[in-house]
Order: sequence, then C-alpha cells, then structure tokens
Amino acid sequence: MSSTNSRTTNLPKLTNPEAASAMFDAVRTVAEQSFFAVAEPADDRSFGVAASKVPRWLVATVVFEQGALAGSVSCTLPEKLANGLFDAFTGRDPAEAAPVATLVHDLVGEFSNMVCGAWLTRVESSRTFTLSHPSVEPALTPAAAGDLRLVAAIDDLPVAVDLRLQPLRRVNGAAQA
Amino acid sequence: MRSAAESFAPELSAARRLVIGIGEFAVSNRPGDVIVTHALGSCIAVCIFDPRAGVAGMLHFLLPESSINPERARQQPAVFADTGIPLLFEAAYQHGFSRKRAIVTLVGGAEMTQAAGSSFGTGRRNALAAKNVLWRAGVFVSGQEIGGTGARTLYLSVSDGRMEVHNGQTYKEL
Amino acid sequence: MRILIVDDSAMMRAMIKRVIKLADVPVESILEASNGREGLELLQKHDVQLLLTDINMPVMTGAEMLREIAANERWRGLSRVIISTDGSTVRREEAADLDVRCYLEKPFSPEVLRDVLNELADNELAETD
Repeated sequence: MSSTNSRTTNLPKLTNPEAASAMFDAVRTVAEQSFFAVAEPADDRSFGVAASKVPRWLVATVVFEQGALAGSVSCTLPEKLANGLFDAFTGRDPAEAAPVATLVHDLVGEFSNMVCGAWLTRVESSRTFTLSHPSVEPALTPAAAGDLRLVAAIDDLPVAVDLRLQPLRRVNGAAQA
Repeated sequence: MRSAAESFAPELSAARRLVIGIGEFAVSNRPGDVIVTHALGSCIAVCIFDPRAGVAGMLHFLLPESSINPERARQQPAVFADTGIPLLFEAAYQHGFSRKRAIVTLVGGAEMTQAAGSSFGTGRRNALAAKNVLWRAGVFVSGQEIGGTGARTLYLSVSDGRMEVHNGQTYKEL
Repeated sequence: MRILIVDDSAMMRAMIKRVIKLADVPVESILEASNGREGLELLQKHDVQLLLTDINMPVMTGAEMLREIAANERWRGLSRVIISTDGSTVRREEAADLDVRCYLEKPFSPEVLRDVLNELADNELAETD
C-alpha cells in the first residue's frame, strides 16, 4: 500500500461537499441524540465573528484508521459550550458542584470520539475502523484549519471540526497523528 | 390516521374540558376529564400520565430557556421549558403522581415557516430543550409526535392517558 | 443482576450507570472498567450477568475482549451488548459471531439504552424462572 497513492485517491472524496455534509450530519446527530443540543450550519464569516468572543477553547483530537484512510478529527469547542454539553450529557443539576476539568475533558473527548465514529460510518459503512483514545488540550484560539474544516454552531456557540489526513505512524503499536 | 368523525373528540360534550393555551398547564385526577390544547405549532406540549395514581397533566410551552427573558419567566414560568416542566410535575405530585411511573409524551415542535420561507428552528429547539429538562430530572420520554410543518390540536384523556393529535382533517392516537 | 460497563470514557460509563439506575432494572451492583483487559480481570473475579462494552479502547479493545469471552465456556451465559461509534456492517457481523445480543450505536438517547436494558432484564428473569 502506497500512502501517497492512498492519500491522492482519498482526498477528492473526503473534501467534496458530500463528505462535508456527512460531517455536519454526524455533528448534528451526536449533538441532538446524546447532548440535546441544537447544531446549525455556519459560514467562515459568522464563525470568525463568534469565535472572536470566545476566551478559552478545548480541542479534542481522535486519530482514526479505516482501511487505507488514516488521519485525525479534531473538535474545537468553547469551554463554555463544553461545560454546557457536560451538564446535558450527565444530567447534572446546576445546584451541584462544578465538575473538575479532567471530567469535562473526558466528556469533550467522548464528543469528538462520537463525531469521528459517526462520520466514518457515514463515509464508508462497509468498513470498520479503529479510533485512538482522545487527546484533549485547552487553547486560547482555534487551531489552524485541517484538510477539511467544518464550522458550525452548537447551542449558538462556534464549533470547528477539522479533518487531517496523514500517513499513519505507529508508536509502540498505537496509532499516532 | 382516522377521520375526525371516528375520534373520541365528540365524547367531549359529556366530559369536562380543561383547555390550556400557550404558557399554561393543567393537571387533573378526575376520571372523564380531557385536557385540550390548540394551535400547537413550534411549541411543545409535554403530556404526563401516571396510570396507577390516575393523574394526567399537560404543559404547552413556547420557548426553550428562561434565561433569554428572566422577567417574563418570573411572570409566566410555564412559557419556558426549563421553568414550566418542573411546575407541571410539582402540580402533579400534589395528586399522588409518581415520577418513576410517569408516561411522558412530547407533541408539537413543528417548523412554522416565516414569510421568506425560512424558519428559526424553534420547534427543534423546543423539542431538544424538553428532552434535556426531562433527562436532568431523571425522566424518560415514552413517546413523541414532533416535527412536521403544521399546527396541531391535542387531547389528553385523564381516565386512561389516551391521546389524540388532530392535524387538519385527520387525527392519530398516541 | 450484576452489570459490567467497559468504556475508556469515564463520562460515558457515568451516563450508562445513570440510565441503569433510572430504568428500575433489578441490579445488585454495577462494575466498571476502562479497557478490555480490566474488563476480563473483573469478569474473572465477579459473577456478572450483563456486559456493556465499547469497542475502541486502549490496552485491549472490546472486540479482543469479546473474542476471549467467546472462547471461554465459563462465560457462556453472559449477556453481551456492544455500545460503540462503529456502526459498520463488518463490525456488526463480527458481533453476531461473538454472541453479542444487542448492538447499540453511539450516539444514542437514554430511552434507547433503557429499552435494551428492560428487554435483557426480562429475558434474564425468564431464563431464571
């Protein structure tokens, strides 16, 4: 298997409107089913305006491998949205003590895990895939766009989902972006 | 779907109707009562029934979150999902309603298009808000009749929790 | 019924636990593991009736764990449910070969999991009658 040929073959498929539509559908389904959150499409301009008002972000990245296709999906969310999704997912009573950061990071990682998995299932339902354990990092600004970027609004807050295609490296047997 | 002539609505002449509007709710434990709401567009009707206690209730809310208008929420808490649903349940508890036995159905949440052919997605937001509030309260949703584009009329029988949704010339039982 | 939840997300395990408690299913205890290896260790030590497992996990995947379970006669009566983001036909077919009773695709609403639990609890009662 040539990683260069695989990448060239797969890029047009993954950056076409159908792939972007599948990504938004995955985001919306995850947001609604598990988080009771409203996901709406956005454009770069409205995302930029909304993003300028966000002081802190969380970036959750999942590395995937599906046949010849390999890469990562990163979900960048405002910290405020992450806390809201945490409450919705767990049914947390607002009167309870606020969760510690590690639990919110876990939740955002699971969000990204579900978005990536839901997208891969839509893109190629006949192929199984592997997903890494999510990595979650705080950030002061959204990361640079990947090979495919979807911008959206979840509960009226800006969200970016970035797909990056790359050759798969294996470190100690585990997939690494 | 059945025609209007076959529905239980004609029996209403012998029953006590409790008609609720937007931002209102009603609870009853009187057999024979029917709770009714009309013009259910993007709003959501939250219907609850406890078969053992014989208690039924309905809330007709307009908007998802009270934080968008705290003053209105103070005056009309049943207008919002997050303040109205707890009120509905509190009222039902007074009649021996049990959350564990609750059969909860959501109706409405239509996308009512604006003049330009677009909608604000209010119906979808309301449906998700109701589910969020119920999940937080530890209550499962047993059924739903949501979405679409038309307004509905909804009847809830207190005797047996049976519901009928009327949409134009036809209706269906839930 | 003793239930084992295996998922590398602590919050997903917490959500599943909440559904179990709210579903009013007769439960003696709920055990948790964050990967397939921990799951097998708990199965060795405890008599578990229902396993709810993710697939993609570090250390040992859910599929690897299920293959070891299927190969061990001791766990023949263990009810197995997969809860995974992987909804591919390949994975579903593999699950059927591993005696998985139910395949729940993430994301899912609480009611969907509740219905699965009720059905399994009814089957469990029927089998012990």
